[in-house]
Amino acid sequence: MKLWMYLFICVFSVLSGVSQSARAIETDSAASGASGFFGAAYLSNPNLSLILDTRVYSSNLNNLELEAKGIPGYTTEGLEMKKGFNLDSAELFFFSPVDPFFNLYAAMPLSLAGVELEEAYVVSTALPEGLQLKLGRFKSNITRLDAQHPHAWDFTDMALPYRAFLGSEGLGGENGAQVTYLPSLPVYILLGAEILQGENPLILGGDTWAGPQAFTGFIKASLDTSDLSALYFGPLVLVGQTKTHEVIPGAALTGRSTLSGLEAVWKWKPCAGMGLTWQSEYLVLHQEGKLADDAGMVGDVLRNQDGFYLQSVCQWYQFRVGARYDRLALAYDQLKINEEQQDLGDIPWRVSANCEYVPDEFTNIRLQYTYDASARNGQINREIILQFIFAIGAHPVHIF
Amino acid sequence: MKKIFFMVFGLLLTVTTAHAAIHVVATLPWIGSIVRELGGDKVQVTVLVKPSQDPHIIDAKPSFILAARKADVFMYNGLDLEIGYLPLIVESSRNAKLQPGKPGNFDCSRFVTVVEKNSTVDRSLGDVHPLGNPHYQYSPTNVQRVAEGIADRLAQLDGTHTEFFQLRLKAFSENMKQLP
Repeated sequence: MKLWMYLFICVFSVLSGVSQSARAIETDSAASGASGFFGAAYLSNPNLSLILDTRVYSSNLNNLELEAKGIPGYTTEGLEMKKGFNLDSAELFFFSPVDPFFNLYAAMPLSLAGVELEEAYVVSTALPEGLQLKLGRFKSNITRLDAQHPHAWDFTDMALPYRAFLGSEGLGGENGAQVTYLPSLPVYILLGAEILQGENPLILGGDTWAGPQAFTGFIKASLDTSDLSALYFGPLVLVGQTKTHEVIPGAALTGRSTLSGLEAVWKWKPCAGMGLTWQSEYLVLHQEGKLADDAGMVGDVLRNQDGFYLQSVCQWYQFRVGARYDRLALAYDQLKINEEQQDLGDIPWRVSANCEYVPDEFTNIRLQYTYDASARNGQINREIILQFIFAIGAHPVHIF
Repeated sequence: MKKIFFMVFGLLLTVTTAHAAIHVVATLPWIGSIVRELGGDKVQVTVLVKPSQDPHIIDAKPSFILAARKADVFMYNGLDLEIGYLPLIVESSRNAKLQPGKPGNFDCSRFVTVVEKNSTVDRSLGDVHPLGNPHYQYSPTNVQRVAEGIADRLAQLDGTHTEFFQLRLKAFSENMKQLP
């Protein structure tokens, strides 16, 4: 058997040598198997990486106040950070081609609470006409910060509109399917639609209904504003059934939500070590439903609320400085229970500034200060966060 | 109305067929210039990275992805030089022709002799190139080999102009020999 295989290999080698002799010669870089296309010598093993995200947190509030610090009228979810040392997560990533038709990605944040399967999905590579299918559990691509993993954010935490409408981790991993279409046009326009199971506890909320309960649609367009800069923008919409306990304390809100918005990013990289980014997103929520507490029906709820953030990051070789302003109740601040507008206090807003030292692609040391006036009752959270991000292994490329 | 529709449709068809050149997307300028030399008017070349930019650290701009979407062949330096954007561009292009293993995926480094391959590499050495020195285009021998590979691939993609590409390669090789 072995002899037979040996002969076969010899004959095959000779034949392939003959067929190559008339053609350009591939050298030992090919023979060594060092394709390098996905960053690994051989594609027989998946690429692995681990991102360690650890933080030192300081605030004028105590831990109990931080834990209870929701945004009245939006979310009862408090801040997860404790004063002192915090290990946000060690995030494990796997990715590799499955076969000529699919690439597989998985992301598993490991924390003291256990292992979470945040993402595990395949992306098609062989569909015709600019179509692509994503299937499994994935972070929705409707909004920019939601599609990114926390270590890729320019600030340590989620922007305020996300925290208010989607939660501190955004929409998060959702089971579902996504179809995107990139037509062959003179400009980049990507059309996308998703069907999601709808597990997000703030805007969607559990498998209360029979099947997938959330649907999204988005358009992403991009223009090169020069050879060294590009603008990326587009509208988004999410509609879904809602059942949440996290908006009004002690009561369940059941109804239907529509979250729509607009994102825009402009990046300019004049040379290798320098760059400037402006990024902004606007989200507006329309929610109608019923409110019920333990004692029974309370009444009808109507929410029309919005929020936005604007941030800019400037890079000077190994250093970056950034500033962010986020604010809710920009044009809409309507929370009506039984047609009666609720008075929830001041307009929630925050301002943050940070500086980063990025010696290479794999280490990021960030110092951030935030003045947080989102409590609506005059309570101010002045926080200082020192964040360390370290990456080992082969990591998937980040989006633009 | 119908006449106008057919006229416009016919015009569009004419425009499409008039540009039946091979759409080549090259990551780096040196690859693009070789393709232009060998392909002449039989290719339409888009180069992603500008000569003024550092090819190690480029963002995968959506315009790169759109160019790859329209490409017949994607030619890149390889040896992980473009690792920070190449996989994303190829996957996001939604173009089955460019996926690894397909004729539309062309790794120039497969035709060169790689030097400075360290036997042990890890990141304690810094952000080094683990597969060897990817800046092999400074060797005329390597450039010649890559050009031969490109000419073969263009012929594979457009068999009706094999002779044209071979003649252009011959002229290119003669010019290379004139180099001091």
